[in-house]
Amino acid sequence: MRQSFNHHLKADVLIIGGGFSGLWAAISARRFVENVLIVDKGPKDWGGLGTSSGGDFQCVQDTTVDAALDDLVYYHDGLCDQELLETILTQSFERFQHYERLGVTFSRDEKGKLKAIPQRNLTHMKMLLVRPYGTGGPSMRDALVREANRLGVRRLGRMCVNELLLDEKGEAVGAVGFHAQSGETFAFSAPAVVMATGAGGWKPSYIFMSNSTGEGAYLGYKAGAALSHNEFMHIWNVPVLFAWEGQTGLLPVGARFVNAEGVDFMKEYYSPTLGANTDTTYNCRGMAFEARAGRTPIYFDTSPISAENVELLKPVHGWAKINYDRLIADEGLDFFKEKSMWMPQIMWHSGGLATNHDYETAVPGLFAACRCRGLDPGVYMGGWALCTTAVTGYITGGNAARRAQEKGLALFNRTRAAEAMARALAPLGREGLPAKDLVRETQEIVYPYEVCLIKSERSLKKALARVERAKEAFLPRLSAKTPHDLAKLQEGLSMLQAAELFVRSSLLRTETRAGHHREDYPQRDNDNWLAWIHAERGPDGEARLYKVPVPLERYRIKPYRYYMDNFTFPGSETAR
Amino acid sequence: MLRTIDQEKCNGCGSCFKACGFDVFRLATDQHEAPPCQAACPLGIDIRAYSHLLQQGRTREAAQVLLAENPFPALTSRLCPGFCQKKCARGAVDTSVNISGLEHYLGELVLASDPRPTPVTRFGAVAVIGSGPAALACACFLNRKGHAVTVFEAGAKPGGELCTPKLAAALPAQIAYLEKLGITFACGVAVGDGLAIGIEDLREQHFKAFVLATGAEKDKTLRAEPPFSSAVDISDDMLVVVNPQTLETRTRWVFAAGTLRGCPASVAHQIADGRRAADSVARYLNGWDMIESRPVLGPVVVDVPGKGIEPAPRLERAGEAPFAFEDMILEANRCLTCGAKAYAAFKDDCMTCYFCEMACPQGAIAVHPFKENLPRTISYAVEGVK
Ligand SMILES: Cc1cc2nc3c(=O)[nH]c(=O)nc-3n(C[C@H](O)[C@H](O)[C@H](O)COP(=O)(O)OP(=O)(O)OC[C@H]3O[C@@H](n4cnc5c(N)ncnc54)[C@H](O)[C@@H]3O)c2cc1C
Repeated sequence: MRQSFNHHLKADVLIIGGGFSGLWAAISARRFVENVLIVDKGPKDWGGLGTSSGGDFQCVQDTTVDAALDDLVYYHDGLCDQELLETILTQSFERFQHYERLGVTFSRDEKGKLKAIPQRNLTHMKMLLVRPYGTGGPSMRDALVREANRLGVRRLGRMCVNELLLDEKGEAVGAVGFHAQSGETFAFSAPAVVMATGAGGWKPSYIFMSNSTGEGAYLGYKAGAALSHNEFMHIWNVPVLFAWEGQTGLLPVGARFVNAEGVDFMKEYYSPTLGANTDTTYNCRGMAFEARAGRTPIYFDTSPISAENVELLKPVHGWAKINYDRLIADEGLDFFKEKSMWMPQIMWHSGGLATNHDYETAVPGLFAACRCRGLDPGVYMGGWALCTTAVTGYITGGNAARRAQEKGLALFNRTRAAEAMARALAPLGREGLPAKDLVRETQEIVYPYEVCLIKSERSLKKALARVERAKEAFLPRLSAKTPHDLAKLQEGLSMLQAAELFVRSSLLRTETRAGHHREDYPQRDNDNWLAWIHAERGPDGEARLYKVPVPLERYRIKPYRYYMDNFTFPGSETAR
Repeated sequence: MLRTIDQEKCNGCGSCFKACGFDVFRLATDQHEAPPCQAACPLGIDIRAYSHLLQQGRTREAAQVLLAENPFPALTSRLCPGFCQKKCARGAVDTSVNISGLEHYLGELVLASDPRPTPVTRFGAVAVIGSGPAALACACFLNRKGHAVTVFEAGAKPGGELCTPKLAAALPAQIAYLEKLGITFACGVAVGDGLAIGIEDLREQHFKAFVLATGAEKDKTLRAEPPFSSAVDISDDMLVVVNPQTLETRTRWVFAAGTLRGCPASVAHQIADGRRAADSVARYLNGWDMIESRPVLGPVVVDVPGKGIEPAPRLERAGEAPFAFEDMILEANRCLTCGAKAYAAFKDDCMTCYFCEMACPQGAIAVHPFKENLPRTISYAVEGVK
């Protein structure tokens, strides 16, 4: 032990990832156990993506859980875990109140009524706001960190976890990792482990989004847990050259997405009912079909917004303000006066760990909170992430703590731990291919719109061949000059695996539903595909994919309306 | 993407380094201007450099930086009054950095390591008379230069004034460590005129140079005459007379260090004196100039960080135990690394999030809004604004 690791830390509950999910899990776990440790590969207490978020928070407060759930079943095109979502919706109000107790202030009108904005043309799914825009995320982070401090939650930053540790019974009892700035090696032992590493993704350029590279799923999968929702990803429309947050708020006041011919293509061609006022995934699909038709570039035209509204909508805080001001100062580019070129960008992969309703994975003792659990079929609503981080983080932390109390001891095999560490460190200092190239390659595999937006057997098979080639080329020759590079390398590996599972699961789902569009199977197929696809690592190391039917017989809501029916994309008119 | 870090405006606080989620930044600590802590330290330890290494968890490299000036961090962290901390710029924000806690961490790390003997690469030996802080430091620095060193101690155990309850555990461990390095301890052997063995006797046994460091009572009236008058001049205060810069005595091969020659009594001053004597011995044995290129510290940083830095509570050690790794990193990250300069060590990991710019209290960082050129979902032949 002494030789294999520089440090050995013990905890009752080990939480991997200190974003909002991890912080909520820790706060909750402390109700039952003393020693709660959060490790994060980012700076200590940086709060993950949540800190750069707007603070928009989905909450059921002026409607019923039943009505909201009905909206979600519709929005998810029937592919939703109603029992799980019902708990999330039910507890969203408690976590909102909890945030208020911790000192976060949500916007209210003069009468003190909470401001709540319906999302994506849904009736009951509404988000609460923190204003001015840009103060929400930091104020939530500060509140959670203050509470974690008060409760004596231990936190360790710049700590890259790279393998889970199991005991003889195959139960999770810790992890190994290294400090990403020094390379100091760590063994962590804990009778319960919470994955709170956020969503997966392929490092898009979007503020902090690119730090969440799906390692929770990657590590869990390697340890024997199943993954779900791999065929889905969430795609956002973004300016080509710079970042912009909050375009959904600009659409209702007149901003328009137009094609090269100046046509509001969503309204004109793909969804006369919703137009562009929908989930970005559908807008992006529209953009892809515009590219097909040779009608790109796509522009976001802000010129119809009234001067009065521009004053109200100008960023006044944080990164968004610097960004806006500097675009004018350095590039002479006033966002509210020009048409800027936009494009789809993959934000995150929906794939994540599959769990039971206690958020425990198939590996006993390994729990998954929020975005590293597969949940959404590639569609998203403003404020949903912060709602689910709080609710599922809280539930998961409590469950993990109770599990820790029951299990008590965490004993792992030291030789195997040392081997795991050695495997992780192997690329350090050797000659070979850098993380940068691996990351780039995975991006090139999934980014083309014919892979991520308009899928077909042909395009997916091509992508799969590229995955195979990347595995052959990179896996034996990975190298890292510094521990910093080694941490990036692990991200690249996780991205490559996600790319493979994305492509394989997309190939398997021979239908179109929610965020998944197959141009060779453009119709919904309820007979065969009201089912999730789970992926597990087979004994040969290869992915084993299988169907898990949605247990509709148990559910109260039988799907009867479908959000996807608001859209008509080329090909979907014709039956298959 | 990160565009500029204005080196004139940057005062080294490290806010960018601490805030960046992608770990893009590092600090260049090797600067002409010394931080206030280093300037105040009798040993001139490059605290800024080792602290930045500790901020990154690079404990072994940090220990090397510290050991370069101070061979006994495990002892000084328990005894030194902390000259550095009194001048720490963080004091103006909230409270000084717990430098002694960081030093303690490194001290324990050093003692827990298993050093290999330093190869003896020089012919002949050096005798160090006495085994207090100046003597041990002198022995250690001479050992590093490849000299065979014997420490003569009249008492039964080495340590001299270091034999205090505060060091009950640390001192024996430190001595054992020095023995592993190859330093010989001859205890129960009183050296001096009319004692068990004299300097001239030792010279006949191939000892080529001598450092007298047997200490002196603080109270002049209690001091006895040091038994070395055959080789050195003794002052009215019963101290050995030396050249204060070189610590040479009347006799070319005899030097004196520590309180015996009137050096201030703090452990740090005495270690510095031992180090100076070791330097002189080496010069003497090599026949070098005794003065040329002695280390001098640059000017002190004037524009220290502090403005716009968020307060963060100082961590204290729990009793005798050193910091845990996590607390050590936290405390090290309170250090404002005065006068260091930030640079982008991993520039291509920047993701245009502006957090560094927002964190910089000096307004030294500018991020350009155009983001990284990643592969595209839809590729436009010309990208721009219309
Ligand atoms: C600009 C922006 C605005 C947004 N606005 C909103 C909004 O208004 N409302 C809303 O609901 N959502 C919003 N979101 C989304 C939301 O903020 C995130 O989805 C949510 O905060 C994710 O929280 P998380 O804790 O699950 O994951 P993350 O915040 O991704 O945290 C995961 C943590 O795990 C760490 N980690 C990952 N891998 C490892 C590893 N191997 N070892 C150790 N640590 C690891 C990461 O460093 C990270 O800190 C926004 C996001 C962005 C970027």
